[in-house]
Amino acid sequence: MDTDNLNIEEKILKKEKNNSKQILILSLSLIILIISAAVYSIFVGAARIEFIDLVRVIFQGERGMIYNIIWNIRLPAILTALTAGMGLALAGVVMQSILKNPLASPFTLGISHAAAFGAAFAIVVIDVSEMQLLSFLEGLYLPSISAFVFSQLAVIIVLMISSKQQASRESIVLAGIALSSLFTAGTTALEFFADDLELASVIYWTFGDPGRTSWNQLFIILAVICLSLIYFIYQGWNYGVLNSGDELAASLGLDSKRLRLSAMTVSSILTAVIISFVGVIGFVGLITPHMIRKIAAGNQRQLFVNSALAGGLLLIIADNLARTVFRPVVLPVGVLTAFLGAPLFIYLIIKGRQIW
Amino acid sequence: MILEIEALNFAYGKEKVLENINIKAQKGELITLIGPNGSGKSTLLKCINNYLNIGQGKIKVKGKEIAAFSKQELAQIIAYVPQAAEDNLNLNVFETVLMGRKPYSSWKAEVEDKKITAKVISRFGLESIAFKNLNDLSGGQKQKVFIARAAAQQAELILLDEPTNNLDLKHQLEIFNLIRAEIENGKTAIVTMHDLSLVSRFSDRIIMLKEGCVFSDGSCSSLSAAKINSVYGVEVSLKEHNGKQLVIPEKVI
Repeated sequence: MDTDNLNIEEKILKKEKNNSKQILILSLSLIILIISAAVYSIFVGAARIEFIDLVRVIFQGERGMIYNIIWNIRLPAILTALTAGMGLALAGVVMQSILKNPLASPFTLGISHAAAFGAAFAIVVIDVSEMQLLSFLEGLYLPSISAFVFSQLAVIIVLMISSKQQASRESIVLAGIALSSLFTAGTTALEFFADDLELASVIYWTFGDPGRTSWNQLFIILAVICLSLIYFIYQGWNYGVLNSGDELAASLGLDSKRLRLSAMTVSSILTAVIISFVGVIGFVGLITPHMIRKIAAGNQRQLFVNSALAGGLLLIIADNLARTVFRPVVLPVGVLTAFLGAPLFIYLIIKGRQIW
Repeated sequence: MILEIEALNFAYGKEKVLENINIKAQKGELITLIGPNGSGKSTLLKCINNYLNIGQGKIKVKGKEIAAFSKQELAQIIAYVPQAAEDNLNLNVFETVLMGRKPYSSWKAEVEDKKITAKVISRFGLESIAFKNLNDLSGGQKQKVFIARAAAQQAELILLDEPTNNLDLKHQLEIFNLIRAEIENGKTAIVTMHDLSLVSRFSDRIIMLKEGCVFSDGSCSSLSAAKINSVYGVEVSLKEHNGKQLVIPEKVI
């Protein structure tokens, strides 16, 4: 009998190891796909770049137009798409997990809309002289700072609601939807009073585009995504327990209120940083976690990591499509993610299991 | 003494829920809390579990007040199976049972935790569904998994809030057999229940709550028709079967 039990236990442990391996294979596959998509992206765009051009730039140190296109346009855009996609998907999966709501994402909690309003506010209300407009076009700093400030305002409101004792997960999402409407109305009002140039700037900013970031901005996004990912990998097991209910989390020694608050804070800052530099990109944070759950969820930590990787991959692919569909016109990637994301999301709702 | 509750009072705002509760639990006892809906059974479990901050009174575990333990220390002594299973249904059975090892680990499960999990899964006969998602399990299977998680926690005191709710007869018996097996392993269990016949069959001690107060506290044989009438407002007849009381509800008084 004891030997039988031992065999059963060994079999269970072996199967668990195999399952973990499968999830690891998924992560590695996603990394390989990301690298392939990123390398492919270097050759995609309005200007034609051949493989030999890339070889010349890398191995022969050629410094010319091709170098500039690769180093100053394509590479920052690709890496921004990767990091922004990872960050938005990570923020989305965290928000969905801690609020136990499949509709939670930076978009539905009003953070993205607040950022868009912030940028519009900076462009339309703050006195934009010719010089400032130039500086905006070059660095996007003023709207970015304003977008960050307003998105943090939305975060503070969401966090205040979250910290209320009686706040349910539903009420937080409903508050987010109310905030989205409020900030969208604000942006529309600003657009109404804006002149043609300001209106064009607001619309340009509202469409998320990884191609607008500088190397400095990219490093800021990269630092924030790395720190957030490390935090969520470290806390992954705790968030898995939290996902099983507050009472259970408490009985397993966790402080659910503190955990939820820190997850909301980290994921909101992550979102705000990305949106303030890249603009509004919807649906990546919403649909990527659902896609990963459908393929192989694994535990919470694996779900966090794979959602982030899939988000990065999705945004690189979307950015590629945005650059090629109407070539030489480059579509803002935010428009494309919405076009691809909405039908995909409806498909997932119809076909998907009720697993949240 | 594993648990001592002294003069415990608890209120949700101004609404008094528990009043002057005094209970002691010995190691190896299976104690059942019974009483009508709203009598304070679940609230009492949540107070013992330190999920709710008690107003007045003392709750001591192994001779020490629960507030003196860290959350992690207390989780190593008390396991809890909540009533509303709002669990993460996306996890498989192994991952769910492994959660019981959380109080012993920091950021990730160690090999030893996984071994204990596999042992519990095998002991509970869950090996055939060990890697199925909770979402794909029946209510009875899920409940077994949740009790297995509490067993993996290796806590001395297990609190179970209506573990047989919505389960068929077979699963009700299986659940009680599993709880009994934990008692045989030296654990103590406090269970809230509604099925009085099942309570009488499996419990060592029955505590009746009425309007937040302990109405009676005694062995199964102390269960009487008069007490049930008074607490539930229902007329019942009691029949003895194999030395255990069967409670047959007759009519509402």
